[in-house]
Amino acid sequence: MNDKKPIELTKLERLAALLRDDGIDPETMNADQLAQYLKVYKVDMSDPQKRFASVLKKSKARQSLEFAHERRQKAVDKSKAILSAGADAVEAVKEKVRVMIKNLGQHDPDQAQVYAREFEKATPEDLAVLEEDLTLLEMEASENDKGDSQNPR
Amino acid sequence: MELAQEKVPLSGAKLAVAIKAMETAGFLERLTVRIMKLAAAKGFYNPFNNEDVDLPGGKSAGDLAVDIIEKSLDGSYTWDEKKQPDFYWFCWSRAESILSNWLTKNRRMTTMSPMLEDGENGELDSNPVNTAADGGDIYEVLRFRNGGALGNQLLEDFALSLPDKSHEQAILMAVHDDRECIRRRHCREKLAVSEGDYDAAMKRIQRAAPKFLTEWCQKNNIKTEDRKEVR
Repeated sequence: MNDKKPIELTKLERLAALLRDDGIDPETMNADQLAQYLKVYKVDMSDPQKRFASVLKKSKARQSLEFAHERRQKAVDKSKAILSAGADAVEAVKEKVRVMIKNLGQHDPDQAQVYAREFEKATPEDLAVLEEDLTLLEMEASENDKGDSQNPR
Repeated sequence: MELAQEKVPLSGAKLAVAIKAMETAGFLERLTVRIMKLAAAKGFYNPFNNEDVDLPGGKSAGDLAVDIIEKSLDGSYTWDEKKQPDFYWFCWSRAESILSNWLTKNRRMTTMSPMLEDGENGELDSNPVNTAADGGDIYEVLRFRNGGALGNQLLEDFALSLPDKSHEQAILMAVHDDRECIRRRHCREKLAVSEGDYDAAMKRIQRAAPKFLTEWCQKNNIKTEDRKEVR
């Protein structure tokens, strides 16, 4: 990137550029070296860092919201499919979720209790969300088990 | 009437790529240093005052970096990830563009009265270019008056004030004659000067500059009040 052709500078600007050139390439520096470089040039980064942290936080919140929206949309689609398939399909999902909660209870009784309470008052749409949540939990638990077996203490 | 393009904030995969980039260690600091280097290469740092830098809008390099990141995320800048898949380099390209535009506008301008432009929400806003904090008055005068003719003379005079046939004189003359010579590798190759000799000559140039610049301004009767003529 340093080899990019410079734009037309006045001769004085060329001198300014020359006097300021320290031959440093920020791409070769690590985070500590960058912080030290900014300190040497007395660049106060406290405000920009605060603003940056806030921008990053907002972006992550927006991303979480997007995920939640996608999940909800998926659940709505799924519940519509279940409802259109009839009462037997609803019962089948209920049974599946019931088993999943029971399985969860063996590893984490407290969390299983929370899901059981949700299950009691669940609409078909809620059932779809519960099913997805529990599937994710099962996948997470299975990943953890795999990790533990690969890295035995 | 042309309708303003609606801002579309980053979302989905693009937002994920941007977040991942922003979470890398030293992302903001790297972009800030990159902007400083960019500004230095475009002559934004005042040679008459080491600590003075005049970036568009009177901002610091760090503030400019966050502004660019924010505007890239909220859709003020359109990030085409097919053209530039790396979010960091996209932000860098925006900085490049902002600094280049500022220079181009200042070259064109003969007056510096604030210009009103369509801002966000359709309100008129003063162009940040015109509200930029002044960096160094003398530098500003020499840079922009008469198309920079005074500043051109300064570089030549500085070169001639240095010992004849020295590396430092050769470097300044090379920079005077060839804009590419502000790049050290190009300059060293052109002059066939070793890295050590080049660095030593640059140190001598940096040491000689403050005294020469002060004396040159006195000799040529350049005062800070001259800036009023520019405005």
